[in-house]
Amino acid sequence: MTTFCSQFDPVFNRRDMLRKCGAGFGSLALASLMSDESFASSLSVKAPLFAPRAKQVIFLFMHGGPSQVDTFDYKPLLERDDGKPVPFAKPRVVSGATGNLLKSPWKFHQYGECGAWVSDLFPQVGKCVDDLCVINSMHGSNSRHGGALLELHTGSDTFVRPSMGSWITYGLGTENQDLPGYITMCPTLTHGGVNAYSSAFLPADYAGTPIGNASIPSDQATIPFIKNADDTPVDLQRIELDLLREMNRDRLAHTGPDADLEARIHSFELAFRMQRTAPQLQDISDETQATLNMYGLDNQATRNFGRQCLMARRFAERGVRFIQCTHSYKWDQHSDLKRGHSINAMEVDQPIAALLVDLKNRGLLDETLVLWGGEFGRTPVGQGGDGRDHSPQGYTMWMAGGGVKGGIRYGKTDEYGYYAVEDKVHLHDLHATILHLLGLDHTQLTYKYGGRDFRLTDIYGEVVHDIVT
Amino acid sequence: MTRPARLSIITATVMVITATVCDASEPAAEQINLFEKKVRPLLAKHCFECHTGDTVENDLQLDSLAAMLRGGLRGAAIVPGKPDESLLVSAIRHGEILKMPPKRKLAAREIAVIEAWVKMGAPWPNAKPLAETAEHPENDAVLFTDEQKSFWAFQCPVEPLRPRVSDGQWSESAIDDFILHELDEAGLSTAPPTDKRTLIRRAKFDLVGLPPTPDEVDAFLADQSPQAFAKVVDRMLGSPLYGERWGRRWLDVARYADSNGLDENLAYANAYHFRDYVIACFNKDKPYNQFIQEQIAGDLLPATDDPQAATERVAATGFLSLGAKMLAEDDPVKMQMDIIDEQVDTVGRAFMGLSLGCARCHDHKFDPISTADYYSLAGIFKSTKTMEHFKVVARWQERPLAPPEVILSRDEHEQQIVSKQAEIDAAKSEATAAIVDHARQHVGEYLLAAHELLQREEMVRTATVLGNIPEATSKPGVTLIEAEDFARGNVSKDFSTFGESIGVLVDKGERPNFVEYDVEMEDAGLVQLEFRYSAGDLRPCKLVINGELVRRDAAGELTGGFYPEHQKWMVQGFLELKAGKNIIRLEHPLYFPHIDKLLIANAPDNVRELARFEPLSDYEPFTELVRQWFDYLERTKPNEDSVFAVWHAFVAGSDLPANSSASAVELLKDTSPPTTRDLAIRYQEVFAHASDSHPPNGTDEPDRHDPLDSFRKVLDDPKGPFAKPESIEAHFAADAVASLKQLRDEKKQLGDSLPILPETMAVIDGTIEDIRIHIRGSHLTQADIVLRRLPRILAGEDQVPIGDTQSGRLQLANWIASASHPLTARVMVNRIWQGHFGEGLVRTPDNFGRLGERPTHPELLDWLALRFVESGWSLKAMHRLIMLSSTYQMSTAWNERAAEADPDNKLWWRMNRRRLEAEAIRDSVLAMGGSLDLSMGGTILPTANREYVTSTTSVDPVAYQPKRRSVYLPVIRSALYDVFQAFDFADPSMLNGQRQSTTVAAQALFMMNSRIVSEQTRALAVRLLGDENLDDAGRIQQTYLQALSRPPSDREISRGFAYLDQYLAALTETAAGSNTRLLAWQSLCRAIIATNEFIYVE
Repeated sequence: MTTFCSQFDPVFNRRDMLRKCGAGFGSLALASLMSDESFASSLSVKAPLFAPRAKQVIFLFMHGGPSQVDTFDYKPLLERDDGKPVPFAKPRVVSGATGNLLKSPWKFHQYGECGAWVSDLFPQVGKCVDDLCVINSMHGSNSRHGGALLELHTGSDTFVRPSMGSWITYGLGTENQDLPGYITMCPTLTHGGVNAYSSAFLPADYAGTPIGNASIPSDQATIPFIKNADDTPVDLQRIELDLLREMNRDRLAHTGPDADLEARIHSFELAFRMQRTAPQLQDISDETQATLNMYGLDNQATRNFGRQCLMARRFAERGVRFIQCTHSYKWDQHSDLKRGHSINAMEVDQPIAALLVDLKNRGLLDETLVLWGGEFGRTPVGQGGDGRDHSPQGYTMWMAGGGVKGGIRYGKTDEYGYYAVEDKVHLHDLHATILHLLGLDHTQLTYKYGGRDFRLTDIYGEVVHDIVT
Repeated sequence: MTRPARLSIITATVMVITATVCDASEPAAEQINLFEKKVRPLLAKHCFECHTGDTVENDLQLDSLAAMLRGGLRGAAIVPGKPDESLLVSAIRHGEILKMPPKRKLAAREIAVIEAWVKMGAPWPNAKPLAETAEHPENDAVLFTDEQKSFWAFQCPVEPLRPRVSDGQWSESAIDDFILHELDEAGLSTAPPTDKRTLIRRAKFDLVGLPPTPDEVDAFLADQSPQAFAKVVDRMLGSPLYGERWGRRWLDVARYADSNGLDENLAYANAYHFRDYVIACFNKDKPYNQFIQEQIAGDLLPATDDPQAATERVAATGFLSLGAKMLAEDDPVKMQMDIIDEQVDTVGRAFMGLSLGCARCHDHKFDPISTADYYSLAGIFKSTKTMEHFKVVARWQERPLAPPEVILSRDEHEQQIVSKQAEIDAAKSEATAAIVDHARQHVGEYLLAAHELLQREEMVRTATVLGNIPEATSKPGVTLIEAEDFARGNVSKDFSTFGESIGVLVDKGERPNFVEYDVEMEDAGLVQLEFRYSAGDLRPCKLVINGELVRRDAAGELTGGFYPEHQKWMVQGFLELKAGKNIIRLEHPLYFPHIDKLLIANAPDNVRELARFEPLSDYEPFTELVRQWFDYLERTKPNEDSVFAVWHAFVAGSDLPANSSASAVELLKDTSPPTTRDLAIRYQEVFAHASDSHPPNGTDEPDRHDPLDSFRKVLDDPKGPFAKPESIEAHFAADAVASLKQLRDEKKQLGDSLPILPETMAVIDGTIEDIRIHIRGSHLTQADIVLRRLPRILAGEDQVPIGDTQSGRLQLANWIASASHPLTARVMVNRIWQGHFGEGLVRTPDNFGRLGERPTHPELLDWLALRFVESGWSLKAMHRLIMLSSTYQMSTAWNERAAEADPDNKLWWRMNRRRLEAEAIRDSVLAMGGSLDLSMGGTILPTANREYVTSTTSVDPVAYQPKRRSVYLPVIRSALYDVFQAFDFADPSMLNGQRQSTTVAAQALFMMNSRIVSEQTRALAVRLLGDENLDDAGRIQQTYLQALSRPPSDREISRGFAYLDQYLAALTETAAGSNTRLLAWQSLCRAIIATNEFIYVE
């Protein structure tokens, strides 16, 4: 099977290199092959196609679908016409029966120099609006969690495809060889689960490495197998690995050159370093109390997501390419909108604001693209007395840092916030734009599988140049 | 690139229309101006990318007037002068049918330009007269080009000549000749044969997926006969472990999984029948052509007398069912087409290496498969029933896993139950009718009773809610019941989700939900009934007291939400209870509101003292009928034509409405009754008269002028006050009760003796239909119907029509499974070759099309395919043939010159070194610890069928602890077992004929840290240390023999000793007190199992 892409050719592969050098193994000293320094893996840093604006991505995923008209898409007419029927057709395909226009239970205020309207659900994020590029005209194709979630993560709502984090890691490699290039914290196991961060037909190196899952509190979540089942002390493990390396080297001397065997020798060293680095990184005792408080770790409500945001910053600092935090399956307010969205927003507002401020203070925001949003938005019409149904027709996501213009809004929905109508941004366009910000051309980043070239944006996607600095 | 031949489906009618409208006179200057300045640039910018040139979407070209008029698959693009009838205009307006450009709608002014242009007759400068281009260019053309027809994979394999080779001694079979010949040509030589230890290890992993035992190795070493290896191969092929190993490989192709994945991840708890079927087929060496037929059309094959075979055929069609599906797709048509697409794609790639799925949206860009061919095949699967329904959450079909006659007798038995139920219903209906008929004579009684009820209901609204008064609830005579303390019910109790200590009733999946409370009363009398509940949606319940339905809307109001703060006490009514035990039953077709408590107290005095009418006779009105009367009267109150207008006016003390039915008034007024009771009597008389003078059925038309007719209508109204209630069984006559009981007993007996057959996912033929081509793959844009048939590039253009009585699956299966199919045998022998060598002769095993790779050894591929068919499609014969070749038995020895010339080893100058797959790694580790459980078949999935495997709280319930072989571990899509995930298990949501082999840190972490490796190495160490016949050198030797199938060298033994010492020394510092010797041995074992030598097969 071909595991290297055709146009792109980023995978610096030892076997390929040797083949290209025409040297063969015999002429290279075996000892030098064993040193980690000389070893280039498929995760090695690869140069982007053109100057990147962002080096890494942090995706804050609000599973369930936050309502745009209650958060970042202010619609005065919705309040005026509360209770009236929506004056245009509802979508042909809907996931449930809905009623008349339902005004937002929250007040909106203007924030920042740009004067963007943000509801009382996000007072802390509101203070950061001058760094936000709020896209009000997002739209997707699927009105169910499963399809929409996959479409957001992989570009396809029907088939299993590599996730955007996998494409990005495939395209750029990762800066820190002691950590996975693509980390997803507390991912959901529902609505597609692993398929939202799997590499599908891309090599497994590019799959997201989960830390726990949504049922595990973030302070107890770990990378699979990172912890020794018997708590074997590290020095003993080191002795064992030394023996293993010796046996493997003997074997390699016996078999003759073999890049796979060699890669596997290397992988144990990487694993050993990773199992030291990752827990260190998850040990946040080196953070100041002020930082912990800023992320809300001192508060029961914000602790869980706050820790995810803090970890995201720590991973970003250490060069992890794609980091996802998931606020799992809480935003699905078919009823009880007021209570549900209040609780959800309270859990994430302060941590998200803290992440933005912290990244900015550390000078990381410029090179880190922060993306916020759910798998879709919600209807401006009500469902039951106090709920909203799913709506992929027009909703809001926002980005910050990483080469996007701050303090702007892009695109519009209609006067009630139902359909995206102006400067529409499809999920494919969002993907194209994210790749562009990272210095990748979404039409060039391809992978040949089963006899044809695949890309994140399939045959679609246009870069939204207007939001790029 | 040559243009792939396309099917012309343009109809004659379109031609006629276009011919009549196109009278292309030269346009005027301003028209040219409009066209050149506005129209052409718009077309160029937005349309030409897909609708010009050789390969256009849906055969529609938009770069000339003629082409527009000729149109594409959907017909002409424009009707000059008539924008509203022009498809192009409707498409750019993004109409319901077609939306173009698909992504971005044109601006309004741009649309206006095109509309204006069409309206003025679509002037196009220098347009060619239509006659020159009217004929669709493909109409007369051949369907396929010569180049397409001559593509290698579409030619039947021909018996190749055995090539001359340099070393005749080396060749064991023709395989070796073909291989050696190519090596000779390249000037390369073969690797030396591998040693016997390596060979048996290779063979065991290849066929069984486990390392050979030291005894097996010894026996092979001792056997000096020329057939020694053939014996080993035969023994392994005879082992049931073979089916588990190779069956698993087929399961990758069949995208087998135990859950749906994608969105709603429901348990495919019966999918394992298909897995066990596959394993059994490999073990019994079922001919591969039969294996194909059964998987595609097992249900349609001619009847068999062998019950085992019949059962297998049912399980086999699970192949078509068990793909991943979006079960929560809101658009049912899209869901069905997506499922069909998945089936077409899987069948195409699994059996023929053809990526048919590519032709769903457009003619295949590279292979000669048109959308017409695709939708011909899709029609076959549309005519196949895979799903029970497509409502969210959709339900896949399952069938009893049994021979047809057993299913038939089960179905007959079920039918008897249905008939018995019908008898029960009829008996109930009859008994109920008797009661209702009798009641019809007592209209007056019901009017009075309903009036009483009305007064009581009005008092309910103003009643004091006792539940809100803390001291009231503790008074004597007040009974408080916790909702969850029901005497009988079919719901679960939830004490936490909706408020601590608030127990609410939650659905367990049985319909309807019900609960019953037994309430003892000292005296009979009216009570006030209250519920405390919360409801965010309307969920009115039936309230049944002592078998009589008294309300349909109990707990039927919204309280503002479902949460604890929304809990409210509400009065449900004043109801009659009897002395002694009363049964209060609540019922809801789906889910209850969140009911927390019930309260029963004596009705307040003013309610009890409510004026009661003296009955007209000793007739006792039935509560349920009173309720119906009450509802009917309330419903007809606003209706001034109602025969009850007089009644309503009288009880309200108001004047008759002006429009009230004159005749009814006439009938009632003459007595001018002084009291309500008198009026009730009058009504009773009029109704009796109406009833008695009922025109005989069928003889007379009802006379609309007869004033009595409106009274009769009330009596006959199926929704009227005398509608038959569902059941008033409590009042049935004794003989009716007795005969009902007997019928029910009989039904119960039938139910108890109904054979329970295991079910499995399976398909059958459904409604037979041909479907339309879906333009751009969308069911919203459909073109012409295509007949069900097989892909024409392979099956030819003259095919026998499939007909209206069958789906065509059987024809499809027989065609794929035929010896003359050019791809089927090749694709499978290639899969087998790949299973033995790591790569196939075609290195894209699932794609033999133009974009797939060409065979490295086409003659060898053909030779193998021919032998495969000759052998009766025997897989085991193919294994034998391949494994006994010298090619297979080469070593992996490195050869620098060969590596330089052929780095990918496409010429097979040596054997490939291969990493074990996830299953073989896990199984081998378990085997090392002596823990592998070799029991076969069945399921260890803990989740019930169709239940969610990963809940919305993301808890994964599947335990992978059992020591069964990996093939029996649940395969959960979207939440794959992390060991599988780490070691490149194929994504079970899609067909995958070749797994990747990556090296990632997670695999190393598994070896270093996982519980499995720790437990098994410990077990191995315990066993070694417990063997008192061995000294430590012997133990090291034993470990190497077991793990690596070879003895250690002296150096390795001494290194082992040194290591144990070193480890013990380090241990005594850190782990004093524990069994340090065991820990040191465990560490040594783990290091050996973690070596490349253990995990890579030579």
